[in-house]
Amino acid sequence: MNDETKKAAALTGAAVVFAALAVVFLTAGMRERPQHPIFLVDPVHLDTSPVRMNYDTLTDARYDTSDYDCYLCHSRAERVELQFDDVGDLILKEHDYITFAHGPARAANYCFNCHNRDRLDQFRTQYGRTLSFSQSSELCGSCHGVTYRDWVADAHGRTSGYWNLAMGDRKRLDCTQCHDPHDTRFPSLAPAPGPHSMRDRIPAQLATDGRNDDE
Amino acid sequence: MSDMHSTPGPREPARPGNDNGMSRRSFLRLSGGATAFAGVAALTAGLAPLRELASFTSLEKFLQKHYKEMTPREMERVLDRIAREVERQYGMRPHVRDLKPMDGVEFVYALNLSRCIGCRRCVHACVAENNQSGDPALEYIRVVKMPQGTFDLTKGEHNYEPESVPEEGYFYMPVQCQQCANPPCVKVCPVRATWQEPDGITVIDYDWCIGCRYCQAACPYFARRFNFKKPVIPKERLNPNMSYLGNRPREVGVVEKCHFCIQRTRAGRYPACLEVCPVGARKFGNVLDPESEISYILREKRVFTFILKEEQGTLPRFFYYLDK
Repeated sequence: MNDETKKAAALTGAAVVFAALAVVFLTAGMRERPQHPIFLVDPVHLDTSPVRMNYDTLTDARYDTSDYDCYLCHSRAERVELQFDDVGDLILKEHDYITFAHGPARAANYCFNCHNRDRLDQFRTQYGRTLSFSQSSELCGSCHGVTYRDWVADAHGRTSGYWNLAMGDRKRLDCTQCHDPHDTRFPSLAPAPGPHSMRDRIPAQLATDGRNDDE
Repeated sequence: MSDMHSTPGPREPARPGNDNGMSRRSFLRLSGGATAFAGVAALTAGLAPLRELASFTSLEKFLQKHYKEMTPREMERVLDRIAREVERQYGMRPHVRDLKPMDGVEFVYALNLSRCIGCRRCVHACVAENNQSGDPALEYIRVVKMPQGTFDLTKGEHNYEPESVPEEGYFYMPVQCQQCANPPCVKVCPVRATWQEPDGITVIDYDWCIGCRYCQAACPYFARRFNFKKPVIPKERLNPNMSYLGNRPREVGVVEKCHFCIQRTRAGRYPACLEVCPVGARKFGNVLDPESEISYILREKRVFTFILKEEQGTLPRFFYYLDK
């Protein structure tokens, strides 16, 4: 085999290799990238609305507030008498949807600590001040003074809007928008999904199969 | 090819195969041409990925000055370029601004450890607000579940997934950028792509970051995240309210972190993590204003019992406090 034959063979080989490379590179560029689901934030976890509604939002939203209309059932002339069972628990009768868990050892297990016995559609503080249903936070403050002071300073409870009051308004929630006044502990919540390493089990509705079409 | 001509004749006895139609010389010429052609084709195909590179490194961006050296006019042009790039990539025109720090404002964050229930709403609100990549998923906030009675972080747990929170016997501690007054991340940056602003926010210029990740290594709080891949954000999830130093979409190879929602807070609003917190454990405001809730908390609450990694001397602007 002489030099020229070798040269020809080498050149042919190189041409074949280059052509193969060209094909490989081109197809590699065209081939779809592996598609796998992207983790997206579930909008459920972005909800900024409070966990409960206060009296004002209930009436504003025209919800059924008949529960607050005490004299639909009670008589104005008759004084309400409370009844207790053998272990000293209040018999709730028609109000049995209420769970009593206010204070340690259910210490506040007595309606007229807060409700006005003489005007059932009002509140009455321990010092005899009467308040409307819309003023529930002041009622809470009549016992929980330190927390009330924090709340007035925006240090207790949720706020939203503007930290800079010169630039916009701030919204502060009523006590009852987080706490059920009869069962005051903040309700447990299901936690949002954990960090990335946990996300091999992505729920189908959170996954999308598309990538950005930025080309 | 030239040495083919100089090849001496006598060493070239004719072979029967080469006589019909194609001489050795013409075959060599043909195969040489084919080789050259295939080589060019292979080179072109091999360099094809560079087209993608060219699409995001525009000349405009390449010639851009450092953030602090830009005149307002130059910044306007840069913001317009960013808006155009976002529009091209995501098909929506964003509202990109460069909000400046306000006079007499220093931001401080406080988190009530006795209120936090570990629901991780803040983590997800942050991702949605700040256009973090969904693949791989980047998050600025980590929530650490800790057994009550200790601040030993080695006993912490990130991957808790119970039916409901809070769990008995544990407390929860969200950790994010502490916006240190003495930030170790800023000191190590070799190109000054990250610095502390007058209002206390440590920011990153994503166009200036070279991706060396020194800052990530320097941060004692693991607060910085690196984009190993081009961030993936579905178009419909992109937050159009953007800021140059804040939540504009990042490119591959840059570091990002919590910036106190600069696009919100410099416009007077609360950060996204604060507004979503269902228990109101997160508090934010101007510490230089004695009337602000943050000043009230620093005055009234048990704040200085616990500063995260106090021994590092970072002087965080992020305080954990207890009610009682």
